[in-house]
Amino acid sequence: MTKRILIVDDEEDIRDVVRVSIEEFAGWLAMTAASGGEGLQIARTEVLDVILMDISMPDMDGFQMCEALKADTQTQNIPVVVLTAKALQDDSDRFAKLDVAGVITKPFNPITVWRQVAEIMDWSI
Amino acid sequence: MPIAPHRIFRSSITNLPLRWVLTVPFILPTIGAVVVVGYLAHRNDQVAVENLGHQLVEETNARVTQELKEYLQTPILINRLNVDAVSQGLLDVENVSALESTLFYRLQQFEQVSAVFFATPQGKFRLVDRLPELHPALYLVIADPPNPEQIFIYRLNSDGSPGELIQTNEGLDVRYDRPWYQRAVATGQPGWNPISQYGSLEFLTLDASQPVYDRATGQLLGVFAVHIRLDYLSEFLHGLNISRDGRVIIMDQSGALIATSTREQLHQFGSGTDYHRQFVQRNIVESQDDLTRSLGEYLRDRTGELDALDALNELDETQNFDFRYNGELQYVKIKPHQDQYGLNWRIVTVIPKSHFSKAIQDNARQTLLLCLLTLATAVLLGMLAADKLTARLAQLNRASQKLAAGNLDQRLPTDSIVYELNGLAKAFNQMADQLQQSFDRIQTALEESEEKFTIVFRTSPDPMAIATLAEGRMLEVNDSLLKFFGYARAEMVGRTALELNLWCSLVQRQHYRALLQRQRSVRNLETQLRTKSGEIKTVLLSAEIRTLEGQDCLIVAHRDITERARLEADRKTTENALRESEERFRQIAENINQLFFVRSAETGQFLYISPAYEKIWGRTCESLYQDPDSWLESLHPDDRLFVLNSIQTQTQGSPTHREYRILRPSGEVRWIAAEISLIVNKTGQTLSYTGFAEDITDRKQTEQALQEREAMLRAIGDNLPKGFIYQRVYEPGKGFYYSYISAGIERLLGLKPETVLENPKAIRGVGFAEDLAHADQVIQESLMHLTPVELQMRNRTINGDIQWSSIRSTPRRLADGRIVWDGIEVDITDLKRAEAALRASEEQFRRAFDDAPTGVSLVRITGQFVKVNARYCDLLGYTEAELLLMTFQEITHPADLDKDLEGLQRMLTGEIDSFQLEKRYITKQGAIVPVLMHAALIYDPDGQPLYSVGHVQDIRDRLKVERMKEEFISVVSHELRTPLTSIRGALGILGSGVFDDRPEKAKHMLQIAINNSDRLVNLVNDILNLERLKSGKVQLVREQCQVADLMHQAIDSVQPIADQAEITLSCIPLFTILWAAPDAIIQTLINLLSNAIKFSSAGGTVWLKAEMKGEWGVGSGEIENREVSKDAAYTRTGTTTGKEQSEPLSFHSSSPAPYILFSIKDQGRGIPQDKLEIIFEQFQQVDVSDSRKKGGTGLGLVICKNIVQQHGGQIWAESRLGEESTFYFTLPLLVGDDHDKADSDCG
Repeated sequence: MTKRILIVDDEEDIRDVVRVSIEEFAGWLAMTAASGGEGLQIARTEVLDVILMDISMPDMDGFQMCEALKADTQTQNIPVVVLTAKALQDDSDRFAKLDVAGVITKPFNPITVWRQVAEIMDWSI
Repeated sequence: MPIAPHRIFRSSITNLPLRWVLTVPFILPTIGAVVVVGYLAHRNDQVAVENLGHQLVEETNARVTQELKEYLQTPILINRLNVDAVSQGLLDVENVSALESTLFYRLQQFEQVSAVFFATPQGKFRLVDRLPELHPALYLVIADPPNPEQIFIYRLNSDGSPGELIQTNEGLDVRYDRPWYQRAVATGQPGWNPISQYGSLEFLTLDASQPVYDRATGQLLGVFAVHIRLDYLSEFLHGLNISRDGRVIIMDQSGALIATSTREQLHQFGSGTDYHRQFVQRNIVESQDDLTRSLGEYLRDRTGELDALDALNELDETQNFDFRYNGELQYVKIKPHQDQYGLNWRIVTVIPKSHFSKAIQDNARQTLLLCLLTLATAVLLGMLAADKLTARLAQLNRASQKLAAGNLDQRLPTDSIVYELNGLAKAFNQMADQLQQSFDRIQTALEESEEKFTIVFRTSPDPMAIATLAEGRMLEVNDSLLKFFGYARAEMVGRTALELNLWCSLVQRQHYRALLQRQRSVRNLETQLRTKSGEIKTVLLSAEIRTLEGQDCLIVAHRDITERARLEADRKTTENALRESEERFRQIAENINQLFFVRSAETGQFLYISPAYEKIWGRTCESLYQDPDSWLESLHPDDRLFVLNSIQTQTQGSPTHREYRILRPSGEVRWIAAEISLIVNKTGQTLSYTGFAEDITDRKQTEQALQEREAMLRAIGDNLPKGFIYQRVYEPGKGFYYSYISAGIERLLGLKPETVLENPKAIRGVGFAEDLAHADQVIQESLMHLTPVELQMRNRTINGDIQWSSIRSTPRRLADGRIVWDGIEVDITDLKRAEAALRASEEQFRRAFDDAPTGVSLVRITGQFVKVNARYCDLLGYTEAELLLMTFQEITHPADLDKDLEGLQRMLTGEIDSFQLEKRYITKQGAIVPVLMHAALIYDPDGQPLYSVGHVQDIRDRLKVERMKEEFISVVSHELRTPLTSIRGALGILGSGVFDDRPEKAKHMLQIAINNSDRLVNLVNDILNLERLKSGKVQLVREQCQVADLMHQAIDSVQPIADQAEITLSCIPLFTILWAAPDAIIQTLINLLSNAIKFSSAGGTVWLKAEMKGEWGVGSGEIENREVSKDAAYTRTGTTTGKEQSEPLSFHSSSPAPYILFSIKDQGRGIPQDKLEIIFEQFQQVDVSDSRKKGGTGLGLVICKNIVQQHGGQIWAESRLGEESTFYFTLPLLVGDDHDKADSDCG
């Protein structure tokens, strides 16, 4: 069954690149959101297999969005994979606390990034 | 010991007549049995009566209830029969004659009711009623539409056919005027109606009514109803015949009477006429029947309600009461009576107790009378029998009593019918005969005895008397007594010893009487008695108590021992005086440590030697008594001759004192001091020697030790290495002088001891004037108060050096009034030098401690602070005094305490010498301060750890720098990786060939890569520029430039993007020359203009303006005094530090240099106030996404700030959110020296 992926990133270029990667190489269905708020709305209305989420975003950053997802019974079971350019130890500690499924560091290889997601999610490919 | 109860009984009951003893034990149980039987019978009667009463009232009430129920069922039944007849088609209510006939038939059928009737909604009304008071009794009442208020009353024939019209009435329309119709129509149900007037008559009626409907249409056909007259109900209750004095009462919930068995009038009619009479039902408390009213009041009081019997509402259950009426108990039962048709009554049944208890009481009274009669008979018979039996015994008793009283001729008859009584009488008569004979013998012996006594009494040489015991009144005295006391017989007989004043001492008399009282006789009691002539005689008194002629008397005998007693007393006095004298002497002689002796001059023998001889000489006194010169054997050989010479002198008659040594038998040497005196007679002849000798060895030894110590002291004084000892004396009238100075003074002060002893003032020559003045003051003080002297003084040595001395002396006052100071003066010059060095060292340490830039603390190993420096106090916010009361544990962050204590412990165990720790303190204000602490131990001279010294460095700034560095790396990392991610992603996708056949998508990817490459290039350039600007590696090349040119160049550069964004640029140039780096200023203007254009909406305007501010040689110019509107936010940033920036605007306030103020204003979205300052920090944009949307790197304003700062200017922004933003920066115009300096700076 086709996987349904939500990409949340405020950088339009990165959204485009990840979307191509997901759709062209993995053949999954990609949806995009340019902010945490937009991402939350989609998460509440769509059936999603995973959310690929940036951390540094205006208005609502990735940490806040994760907390909002966990606080809502409708969305608390959706796995989250973080796509981040953050590199500090403090940030890693915060990801661990958020109970995210995995972290992929930017920049990443667009051809294989979907494989990383599948491995994190333990999906057979 | 407790007394047995039967003994108490026996002792309390005595002397009871035999008649009582024989009758009472039989009569008392009989009376008791009768009383108990009578009481039990009465009590059982009471219980039986009570149970019977409750049972009867219960049954009566039940019967009344049952019969009332049946009675009241009738009207309901009649209505139902009528309604059923209509429903089943048996009766057509339109058929008037059939209706009338049915109503007549029903009335005939049921005699309990008084009227049966029917009314239709149209106004047709038929009523058949029975009035037994009239004759004939049956009537038909008719009303018809259209005049339903017109009532026709016909007499009814016995077959039910209407007879003559007897009355026509008006004014009643039952449909509106009677509740039975209205209730039935309103509820549609059968039921009871409120009590109302019976037609136009003065009766009350209880009506039952039921509506009837057309079965097909459900339309109301009419209402059937039945009257029950309430007086019929009372009659019915009366007919129940429950009891002559009992009552049955029916009332409603409010206590209004419905019916009673007393047939009293229960209502009163008032105003109104015919069919509309007002009436009032009587309440139970208003009843005319006394019992009923009392019951009502009882019920009201019982519930505590004063104005109504509301409590009856609560009587939903059957209740029983016992209530007293005129003192008689009434059994009351109240039972609610309710039915499904809305009846809610209370049935009260009252039955007086007397109704059924009279017969029982009569029976009980009869039983009681019979019991009493039986009892009286039993008592009478018992008493008669006892009387007969006791008559003889009473006679025996009387005769015995007379016999006992001395009447010995008592004899009893022996003819009684009882055998035992005759035996008793014979025994009594024999006993009386024997008593008579014994009495006669005793009488004879007594007379002989009395005669003997009288002879002895009269002829006795000892004074004797017979007196009464009670008063001591003399009954008889003998001649010896009269002679002894010198009284005549008549004077003594009949008087008491007290009256005759015979007793010398009343105490002796009391003693004598007490002895008599106690032992009834006295033997040889020594007593002083007074004769008539007043002479005191000592007698031995003997007395005995005897009963003479029926009264207790005293027989008293005296023996005169006056002479013997006097001789005895004299002897005792002499002996006592001698004994006391001897005792005193002996005690003195034996208790003193001195030897005392008396030696006869004639014989040379010792007359007395005190025991001290044995102690001092170690020889026995006995040896000296035997050989008077044996003490000479003990003399020390060295003193022997001296003593013998002294004895020679002594024998020539002069008192002698000598001190000599003896050798004790143990070989011990003792010193003796002896004092000998002579006792001579009147002729001068020596009778004896008396002497004292004492052991003075201790005194001799002390004197010797004193001499030795003085020699030693002198040796010490003379040998003191750097000092001397002295004795200084103050003698009144002579002043101060030295009595002794040791040789050391010469070495110390260069003065010979003799010099100073001769001239005490010589010593002042080496002193300093101020020290001497102080010393004089101290010594004067010591002279007055005998206080010790302690001084430190300087002296000049022979070499001219200063020498320090410490002088200590202690004064004492001698018996002759002199005051002596024993003192020592020692050289302390070296000590003084060491002290000075130590003070300097301590001062250095103190300054190092107090002024240290880091916090320093000294704590005990328990953690208690001992010393802290100012920096430490500043760091923690406590004062030094506060910290010295605390421990370091109290101010250490709990999470860091274990680490700290562990370090301390490792130092204490010697594992480490010191340790370093990053820890947190909690300040007095509660703030957390991170510090770097270095701790080490300080030991005491024994090597025991004493204190821990801690150096504490505030590392808040260091941590802040570290945090900022981390944040910067994080931001730069993000800013670099983000475009790289897009580039890498786009190129990766292109490289994969996935868009080979979709060129437009491939182009999009390519564009992404290009855009992000540009962004990356700009970012790298900006970072490098900024770094160069900051590090000063690129020096701005300043030159003279026209401000207007710079502005135009900047405008030209941004014009294309302004056009693209449809923004108008407005420029107000300033034509003046500026000393600046033109490229840098143009870049600053371009950056600020680009920002303004980017954040403006299409159609907006951006203004660029430059103004000259300040004046040559005038004050600081407009900028200092600029007023800032309240709603306009502003900030500025310049060469000043953050702290200085928070102060009021004062650009070069001390230097009145003119400057140019540039301003770039837009109509964009504005900047929130909290962002106005941080936008000049690296990567700090108002909105993070601005860098993407607006193409900025987040470094533009930072670069501007750096350029302006390098020119010595300031930059800031003001904004109204949502309206406008204005960026300002200033550049100073350099002149004169500044100009030259700037030239040289710029190379």
